[in-house]
Amino acid sequence: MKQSFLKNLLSDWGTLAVRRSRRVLAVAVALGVLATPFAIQALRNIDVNLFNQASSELKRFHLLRELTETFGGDMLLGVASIPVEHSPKEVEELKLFGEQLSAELAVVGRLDEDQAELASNLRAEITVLDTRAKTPEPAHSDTPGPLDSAELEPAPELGKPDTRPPAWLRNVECRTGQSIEGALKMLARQRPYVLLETSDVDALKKLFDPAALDARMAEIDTLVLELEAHSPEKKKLYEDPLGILDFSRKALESRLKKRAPPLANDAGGYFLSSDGTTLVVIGRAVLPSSRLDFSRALMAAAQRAENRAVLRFRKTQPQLSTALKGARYGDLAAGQTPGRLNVGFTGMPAVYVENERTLKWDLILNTGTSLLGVLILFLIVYRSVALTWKATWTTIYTIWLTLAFAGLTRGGMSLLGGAFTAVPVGLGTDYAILIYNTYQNLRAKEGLSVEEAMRRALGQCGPSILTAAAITAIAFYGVGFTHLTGLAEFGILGGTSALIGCAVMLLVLPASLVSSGENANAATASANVGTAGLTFGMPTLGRWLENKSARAITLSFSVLVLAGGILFIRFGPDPGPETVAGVRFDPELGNLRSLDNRAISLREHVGQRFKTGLSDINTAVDSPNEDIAFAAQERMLLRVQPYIERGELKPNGGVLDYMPSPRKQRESIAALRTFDIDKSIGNFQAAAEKRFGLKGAGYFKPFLRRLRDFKVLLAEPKPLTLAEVMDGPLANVLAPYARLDGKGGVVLRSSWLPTDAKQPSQWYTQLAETLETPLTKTEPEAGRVRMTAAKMVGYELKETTLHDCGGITLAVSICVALSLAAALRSLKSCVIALIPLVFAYLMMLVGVPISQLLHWDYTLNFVNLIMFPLLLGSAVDYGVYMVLGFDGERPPLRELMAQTGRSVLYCMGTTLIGFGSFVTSSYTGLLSMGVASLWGYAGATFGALVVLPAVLGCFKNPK
Amino acid sequence: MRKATFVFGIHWRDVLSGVAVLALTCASAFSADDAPAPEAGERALIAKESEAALSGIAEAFKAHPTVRAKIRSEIEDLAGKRVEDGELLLDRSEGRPARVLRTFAKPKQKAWLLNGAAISEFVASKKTVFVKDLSAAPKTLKHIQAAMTGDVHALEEIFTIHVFSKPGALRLVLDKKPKVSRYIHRRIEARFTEGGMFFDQIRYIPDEGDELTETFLELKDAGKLSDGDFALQGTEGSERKVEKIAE
Repeated sequence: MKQSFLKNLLSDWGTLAVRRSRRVLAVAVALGVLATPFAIQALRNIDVNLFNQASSELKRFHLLRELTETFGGDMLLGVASIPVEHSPKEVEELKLFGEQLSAELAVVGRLDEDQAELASNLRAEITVLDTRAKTPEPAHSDTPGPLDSAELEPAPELGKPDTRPPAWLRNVECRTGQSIEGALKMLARQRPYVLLETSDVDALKKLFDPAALDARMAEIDTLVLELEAHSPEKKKLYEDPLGILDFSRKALESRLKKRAPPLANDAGGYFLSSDGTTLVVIGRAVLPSSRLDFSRALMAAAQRAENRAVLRFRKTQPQLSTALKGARYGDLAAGQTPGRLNVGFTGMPAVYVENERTLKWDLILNTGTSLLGVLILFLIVYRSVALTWKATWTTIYTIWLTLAFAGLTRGGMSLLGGAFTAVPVGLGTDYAILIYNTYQNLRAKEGLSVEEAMRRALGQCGPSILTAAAITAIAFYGVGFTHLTGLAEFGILGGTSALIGCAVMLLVLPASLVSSGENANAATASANVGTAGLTFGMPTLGRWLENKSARAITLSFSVLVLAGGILFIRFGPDPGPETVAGVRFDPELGNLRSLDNRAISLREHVGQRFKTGLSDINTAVDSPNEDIAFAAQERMLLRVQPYIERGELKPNGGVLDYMPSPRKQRESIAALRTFDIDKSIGNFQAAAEKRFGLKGAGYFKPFLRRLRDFKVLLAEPKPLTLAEVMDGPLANVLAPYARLDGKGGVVLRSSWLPTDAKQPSQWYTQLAETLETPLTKTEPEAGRVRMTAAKMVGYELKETTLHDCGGITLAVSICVALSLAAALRSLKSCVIALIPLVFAYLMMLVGVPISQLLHWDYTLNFVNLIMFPLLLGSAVDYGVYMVLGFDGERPPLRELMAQTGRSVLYCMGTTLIGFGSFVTSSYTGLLSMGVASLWGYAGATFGALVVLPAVLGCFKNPK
Repeated sequence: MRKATFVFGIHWRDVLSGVAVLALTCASAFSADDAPAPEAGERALIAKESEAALSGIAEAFKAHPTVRAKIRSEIEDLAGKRVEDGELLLDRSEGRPARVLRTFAKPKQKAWLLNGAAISEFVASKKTVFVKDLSAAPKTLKHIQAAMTGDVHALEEIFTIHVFSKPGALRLVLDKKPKVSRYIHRRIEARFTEGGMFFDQIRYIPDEGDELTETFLELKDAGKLSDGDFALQGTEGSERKVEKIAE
């Protein structure tokens, strides 16, 4: 009864659409105009942020996002490289350039030209993050301490606020400890014991032993004669006769050694590849890379810094030639040619900026390509420009309205969400084909008037279109429940576009079809019968399948394909550690990227040259206070030690690199309290006078002065707290590793690099268990450790996507089963209708090992996994069309193939174009989806147009 | 190599700047507490005359890009007063970084070499060559190179320069400007005979530390010099300790 109501309603609309075609079109145009601002908004706000493409409900992902947003600290890498064949001098020049680039990158954001590029709200945000503006704690003495450096250019004068704009990159360095060195010296200015260990204090005491002092004075007496009058070493002898500096230097070196960054291959600690071709400068951005407005300004400023470094470098008259960059990011300036020294940037800020640059246009061009494909298909099949135009504009109109929906409801869309265009192009055009074919048949065969033909056409195929659209929408909306929010958005927009496409094809296309007047009479209609479409050999295939032996051959071949496919999956190439349904699965989130992204290819280059991954593991220690936080951090270091000893992990930064724990500091203070400085000064003066006479001590005045200053510093020693450091000029240096909540709570972040970038999920799971297992039952008191990594997020996404896909597929299966049961009312027919789906799944899976064998780059991943429920929603349709086409009048196979088979072929053509056009995308996620759909729909086509008719021929008696 | 921008509060770049101006200094009998005044028979030159005189020195140095001379060094340091004899070899040819080698045989053998962006000195008892790499300290390097080529103008950043003249001779007095590091010499005096190829005498008075007067004798054009002429002798098997100086 409902169907009858629907049929009547649609029939009435057909009549109205013909009678009031211009008004209908005018309303459609008006709606399109109204939708324009929202559609443009959606187009302007295509979100390429990977962090917005997954749900925050995922534990590892949530932590990664939290850490990135709380600590900033995404690495930006300046990469300077020279050719493989080079001289040692060129390597030295490369290092010099690295130093200059480091210096320039360290001031990025402080210059007026940089500040001008940033919106005022972002400037304010960075200023809030940057606590250097606060007045640092005054030192105990106005004169420099014995372990002090006043050399630190970025530091403000003590006691004066730093009014400079904050830098956008922290801890910029091109060699081991470049940032730590400065930080430690600054810490030493206020608390010398942050550098000294108890063993250092013991050694210090021994230096002032009278006998040791006598021996040293004798040595100095000899050395003075051996050193040239203006020797820097001689000056040093007066200033530091006992070599006390060595203690701080050794302490510094020991701390740097512990850190041992994986990139430091060079003997001098430079981040230089072992082949001497590539030098890396690393900095950490103050804001997350996902803040694209910031990342854009950062990368533009980094490029200007690169140009300044190049100009400075050129002044040293190097052998290496260089090139300046132009205004456009990544491009050379006019008239410049690549030099022997080339510079580029990678790391997440660069990746994001380049992703944005390439992927937006890529998406638009991709949609254009698929539309062009459909347009060509219509021209070939129907040989009618007018029909092609009508099908094309209604499809574009559908896309436009869906974009407006995205703009209106979400203010924009993600990159994956933007892929919804495949639905109106691939599936929406099917409705147009169905309506047009029915309408033309009625006009040509029955000689009906335009109005009557449209009335009956909509009445006949309207309900099927509505049902198909509803099933498609259900399948897509089901995808909307996945934890990969980008895909979920794709599902919601895809489902919406299916419904909008259905509405447009049922409500607007009929008016468009009759509006030109060319179909206004029956004669024209008759003439158009011949242009109803090419058959593409479908009747011939049907005729051949009517032969019993042909069916036997076909079915035998089909069974062979099925069995062979399954066996090939089971016993074919080794799929590796990560699999889904027995085939290789790529859990690397970073592999979802643009192929045109120079930053990613540069990252791969760096990875190959340095033989290490650049995707770090992050740990966070949450605790109610500083003491507990440091204790937990030290415990975690002990737990991670076996991994470091086995060479599986390398430290990549943490707060303990910069300052010792309160416990260690208390030990050093206790040791220093036993060091009698007055007595030591007395011993020294006595030894100097004994050797050199009364004038002796006079030559060492600076040294004695510093010893007295040291005594002042040690008058009331107390451990340096994190709160003090974070309230002073070093806050910026430590910001990527420590955060205080203002109520005493502390979060300490550490970074680690796995030496093997291909560690399996079990390794990560085991490491997480090692680090995260609480020592005591009172976890909050002991400090909670959490761990995450981009790889772990990948594995987590794999698990959830599989879980989601299973659930979605089950839900869609139930809907499809109900639809099949309602439409076919026979178990046997239902099973036969599933044949295209079986072959679609098989081909999509078997495509992976085949690609592996042929070294093609196709594996299952988070994005193309979603083709499973989508195929379920669409491939079954083809089976249903064929079974229904056969069940009705039971035509001979040649007739079935000429009518229904041909329509299915057309629909598959448009679907393949819609989804398959993603293979032209430069975004690997969409590209892999395109490849998966090509394999899947190729299987569905084989199942629907070869296997299924053969089966129908066996089980049914054609009339 | 390691970066050593400071040593126990010492700033190498300052120390090295002090070393740089050594080549310009010459001794004269004056009291460092007093403002520079003309000696007997001398006249203080006005600014324009000073400018011309300094240009004349620069021209004279330019005419003799390579110089070989004997050094007589009168020093008073921790080890006491003594005289040391050595040799100076200087190459300030245009188009290449300046090279200076100072070698002493008595009382102990020692050598000091500036070659390009590095200063090296050999300490025989420690079997060590101490190298200061100035490639990342272009400002300091500029001062040193300026001193070697006689570009006194380049030193005006840190010194106030007074020029005194008497027939056939000039005397330069370089007084350290306020707020300049204590490692730079408080006053430097250099004597120059018109048409000479280098200073005749240099006297250096520090804020604290060694006093030194160096006299350059038997000055002669060294002709074309090779890399081998600027090699530190007797360093085979010695350890090289390189420190990178940054600004």
